[in-house]
Amino acid sequence: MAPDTNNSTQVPIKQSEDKTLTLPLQIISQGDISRLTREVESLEEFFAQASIQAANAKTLPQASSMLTLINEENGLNILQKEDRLKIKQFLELIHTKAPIVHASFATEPKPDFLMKLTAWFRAEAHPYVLLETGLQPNIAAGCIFRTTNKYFDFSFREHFKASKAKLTASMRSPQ
Amino acid sequence: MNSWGLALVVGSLLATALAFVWVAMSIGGDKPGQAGEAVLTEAAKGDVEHIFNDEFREELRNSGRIHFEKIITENAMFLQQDLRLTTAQLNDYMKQEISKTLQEEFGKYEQSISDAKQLAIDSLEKTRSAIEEERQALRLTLEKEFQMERERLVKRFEDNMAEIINHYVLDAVGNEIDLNDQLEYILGELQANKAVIVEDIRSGA
Repeated sequence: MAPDTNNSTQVPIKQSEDKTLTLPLQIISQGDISRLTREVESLEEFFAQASIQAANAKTLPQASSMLTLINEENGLNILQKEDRLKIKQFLELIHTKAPIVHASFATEPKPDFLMKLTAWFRAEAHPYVLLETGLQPNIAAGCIFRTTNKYFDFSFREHFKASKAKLTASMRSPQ
Repeated sequence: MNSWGLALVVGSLLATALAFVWVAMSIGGDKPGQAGEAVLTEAAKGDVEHIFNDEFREELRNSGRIHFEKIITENAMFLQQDLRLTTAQLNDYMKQEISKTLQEEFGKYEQSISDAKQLAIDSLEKTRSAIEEERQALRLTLEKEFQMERERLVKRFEDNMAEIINHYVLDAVGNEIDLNDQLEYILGELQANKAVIVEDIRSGA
């Protein structure tokens, strides 16, 4: 499993840049960040329009579960403009500077599985790691990770290659 | 031997006939004169007629016949004995000759059979040797080919072993492997490569 280098254009982010906000484990990929950013922007627009059309105030849109989680984990209130701004800046920062790990699996991973993997990366490597998943059915089992500059093949195929001598020995002298 | 016996009998008969002729001529040959000779002749004829009358002639004839028959019988007996002896000897000779010839022929035949047999055995042996050599050569060639093919297959299998097993696992239990079951393995691998992963992520972050 010798790591291979690859070219990535990720902008470095310092772990100490924003310690006030935490990223919930349910927010896993850049797609989640993009959706949250659009949601925050639509909320901002909603409040802007609401301030202009005070007489015809519309019902506050239902916040998504991810946005609710960010609010709850960070003690924020989306009704407050400052908090919304803080969330927006946080999401922009994450979107532009968070380290991204690409993971490939044989089958589509379930959210709880991805959460566990994300938890490991955020606990061990960086608190804002985002996980991008892909499908490679030919790896059978295991997974392949690609970080900024390296490539980690944890698939069974690679495991079989590494255990080739053991496989050969076991086939030559079957029990 | 048979012809000799016959010649002996014929010779005896001729001798008897000559004896009669000589006796007759010697009796008729003494003529003192023409007249006397005639008288003597007549006297002789009378004496002859007197001596050699019909009875005497018949006796002589009978005696000659008996003697002749006796001689004939004896000669026939001799001839028969000779014939028997000759036949026996001839039989022995023929037996010997036939046996000898047969033995020679049988010997030749046996020799021919033996030669043919030996020839056939040699030929069969040569054929068997040639077939055995061909078989050995073919066996060696086949063993070599089989060995090469086996080694080629083994090498090909070993070269692609990981892919083959991966493909087999994928086909066999690919749909039954749950990612959650692999979580421990993946986390273990991550933990084993933690230093490199963390370093790369932090250096890039």
